[in-house]
Amino acid sequence: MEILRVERLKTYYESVRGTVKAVDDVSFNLHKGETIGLVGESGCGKSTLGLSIMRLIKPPGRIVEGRIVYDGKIDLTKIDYEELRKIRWKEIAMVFQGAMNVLNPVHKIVDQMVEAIIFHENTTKSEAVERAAKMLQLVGVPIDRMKRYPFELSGGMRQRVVIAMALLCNPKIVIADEPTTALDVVTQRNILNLLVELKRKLGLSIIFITHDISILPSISDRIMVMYAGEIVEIGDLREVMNNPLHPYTRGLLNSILLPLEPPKPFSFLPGEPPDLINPPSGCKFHPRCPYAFGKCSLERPQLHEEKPGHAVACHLYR
Amino acid sequence: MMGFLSKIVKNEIVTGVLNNRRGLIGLTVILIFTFIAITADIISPYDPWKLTGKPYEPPSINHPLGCNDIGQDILSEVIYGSRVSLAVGFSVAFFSTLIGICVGLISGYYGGILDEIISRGVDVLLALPSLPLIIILAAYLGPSIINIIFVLSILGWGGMARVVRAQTLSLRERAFVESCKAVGMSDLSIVFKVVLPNMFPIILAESALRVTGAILSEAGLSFLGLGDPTQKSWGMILYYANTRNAFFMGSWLWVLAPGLCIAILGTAFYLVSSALDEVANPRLRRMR
Amino acid sequence: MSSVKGYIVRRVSFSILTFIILLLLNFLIPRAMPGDPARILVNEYQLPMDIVKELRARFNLDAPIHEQFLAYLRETLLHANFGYSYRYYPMTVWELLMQRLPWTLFLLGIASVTTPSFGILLGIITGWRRGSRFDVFVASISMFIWAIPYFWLAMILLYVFGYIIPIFPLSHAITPAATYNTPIEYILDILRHAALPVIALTITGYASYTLIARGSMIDTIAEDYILMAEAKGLPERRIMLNHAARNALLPVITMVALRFGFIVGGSIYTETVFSYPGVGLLIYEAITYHDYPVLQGAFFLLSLTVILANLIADLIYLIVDPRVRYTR
Repeated sequence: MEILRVERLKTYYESVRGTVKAVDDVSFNLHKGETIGLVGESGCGKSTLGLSIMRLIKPPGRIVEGRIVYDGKIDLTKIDYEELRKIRWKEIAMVFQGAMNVLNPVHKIVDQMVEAIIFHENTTKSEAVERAAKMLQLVGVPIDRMKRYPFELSGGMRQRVVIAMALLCNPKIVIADEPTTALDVVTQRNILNLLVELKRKLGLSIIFITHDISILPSISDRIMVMYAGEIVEIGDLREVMNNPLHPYTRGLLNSILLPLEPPKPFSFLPGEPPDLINPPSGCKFHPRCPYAFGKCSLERPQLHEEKPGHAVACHLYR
Repeated sequence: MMGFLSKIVKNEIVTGVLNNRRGLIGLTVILIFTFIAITADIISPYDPWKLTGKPYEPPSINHPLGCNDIGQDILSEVIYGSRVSLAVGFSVAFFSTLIGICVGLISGYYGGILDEIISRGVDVLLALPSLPLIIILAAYLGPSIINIIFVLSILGWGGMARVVRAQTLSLRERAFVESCKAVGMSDLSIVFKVVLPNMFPIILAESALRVTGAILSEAGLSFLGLGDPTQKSWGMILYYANTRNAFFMGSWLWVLAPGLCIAILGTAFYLVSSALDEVANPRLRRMR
Repeated sequence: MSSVKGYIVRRVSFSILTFIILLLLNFLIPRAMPGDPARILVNEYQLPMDIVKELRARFNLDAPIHEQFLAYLRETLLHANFGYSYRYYPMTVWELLMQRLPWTLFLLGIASVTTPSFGILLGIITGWRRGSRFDVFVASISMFIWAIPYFWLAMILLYVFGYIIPIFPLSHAITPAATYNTPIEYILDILRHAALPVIALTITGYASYTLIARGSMIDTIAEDYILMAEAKGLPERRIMLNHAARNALLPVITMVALRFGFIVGGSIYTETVFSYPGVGLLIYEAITYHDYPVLQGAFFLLSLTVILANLIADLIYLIVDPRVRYTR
């Protein structure tokens, strides 16, 4: 059952040098209870995509085209601000990266959490405090931390708080934008395990954004690979990991070095991420692609289903 | 070498201000007032000291702004007033800038204990309320234009010193200063040939603000009765306007005109200062 | 907690340093001027000889300078003896100051609340709505007002609202020789008389608060926790006030302290224009009548007020920012 459908979304930023096409015609859907791992290099537009879904794009950026349909009924790009406000956090919530920056330094943790509840639901303050306490327990934060300020907590604790905060109103969808990137490996593993557990317990639908493809198998049901503002491959986790179709995906997977393993051929992606203001013509990946041929520089490949449940945007498969 | 360097720096500043809309407006107004001040003898309808009309005479063709309480033409007063106000403004700005630059450079460049002491001193200077201090000094020194310039200058350099010090501190750490030292340039050379020219836009910006401050202070002092009665400054005009009840005799232009001039000229300097700020710090420029 | 102590120590010692400089200046300035103070006393005002003798003795006016300084310190700090007013003789300067001080404090007290409040509020709104027409409008007007002389604005306000449209009275702190039926009437009368001066002070002083508050607000809005607050679906007003303004105001409050000096300066002009019987008007009279002891005493008192006000504001900052309390 489909809970979110993104259709032909384009989010552009106006800059002095030109228009940055951060999200350039992206379409996908998210099913109830599933976790999609959104992966790509830095600057490929994945964070912008996440922010666009919640309409948090600020000028000079804006959503130029496309629809974002929630629960089959509501087009998030069209509703007015008040309605959007009600949907935010209550239906769709976000876990930001960099938990230190995202928590208000002069408000206590408990106040920030209670605030999220009170403005969406009709509860008393003490009820809200209780719910916040329960949620903190769920994510493994000791209750005594509630009365503290963000800077008094460790990095891992803060990330847990941010996760707990996102879940306070029991949202249907959680967009997790690089929730583990700023953390050390051990904490990273702990947070991932926590998310897996929560996903199971609460039946969340998650869009998990990361640039590190190696952590996706722990948590994702499907994988979506993004390059230069476009989706280049999308499919079932095992299917894509075992059978990567798009050359970029292959390069990403080969970049993961397992311990004691020598580098494989094509184990690095040559070149640099493309300029999003003047991207390469045709397929944006073609300058870096070892398999590029004539058509690749002329025509942009469309996402199509090569196998059931496994789609790719590449001229190699037509 | 020095001449060439300063040509480049000055050019950038001048074009920066002229290209900036606010800077252009400000500069134009300043030039207009300067022109008026210089050509006062020619363009002024009367000698402002002569009694050319009736006391409190209302505005007419002969006296567009009317006459003051003893019958002097107000328009002429205002025109000549620009001389004094501009002279005071520029002089005070000049001297306080000079002092401020010296103090700021020494403090910022050499750092250490010297810097601590000087900064503490500047802080104290800025912490004392300036108006009472200015009043006391002016009262004891006596009412003359030189005294006013003196008092305003020695109390007004604090802001400039702070700005120059901050700039010097940041420039001192930069790579090109290090390389100058490595090459063997003397401290004095570094300061005057390298560090100082880089600060011109900011120094000018701060100076422009000082001009307005000085004009306002002179007006204020004159209004309180500490001004120079031998000069026709805008402040002195307002002093008489207040003490001779201009409003209640219906001569509201007597009050309006000089005050408006002060405000317009002051705003003009602020605009130029703002434009110079943007030249100094391109980040401030708004994207059009 | 040591950083709190360190902060307090620093601020208090700075205030003491400034106070010492103030004492020195107050002592040196009159004595640095040409002329013997005693002779001024005799010649300008024809004070009776025994009073002159007493002043000479008290302030050691014939002794070498360091003894004079000690006498000065003793008289000023221990006895609050600033001498006699020339004009209002035999009133002492101290009596005169104490008579006028309450009114000035009253005016400044109200103004030092209204001016930052108005200015900061304006700054918050224009910072939040950066680039809007309101923002541009406020910025242009503020720029112009900044260049206007205090007293000129006060004169115009007086003329327009006291004379042309007589909403407010023309002068003084209370209606002279009035009788009141209830305390409320008395209070209202005081407030009516204080209204225009306070408005004048507020208009002339708000701009720097607005500028700083706006700048701080713009910086704060770029922070990630504002994005988070928006993502949480909070109402706009709540984000603007509880999240953005709350953080943006912290650097603004130190600026509030520095501005007390300017409010005090402005009150001199304001009291002069509105004939408000405070220390400011006293200074004006002292200038006009060459009443030097009063001038000195008033200068000293006013400066002391500013130093104290700044110190208090610094200490208030301590309460407002929890980070100062807890960081090493």
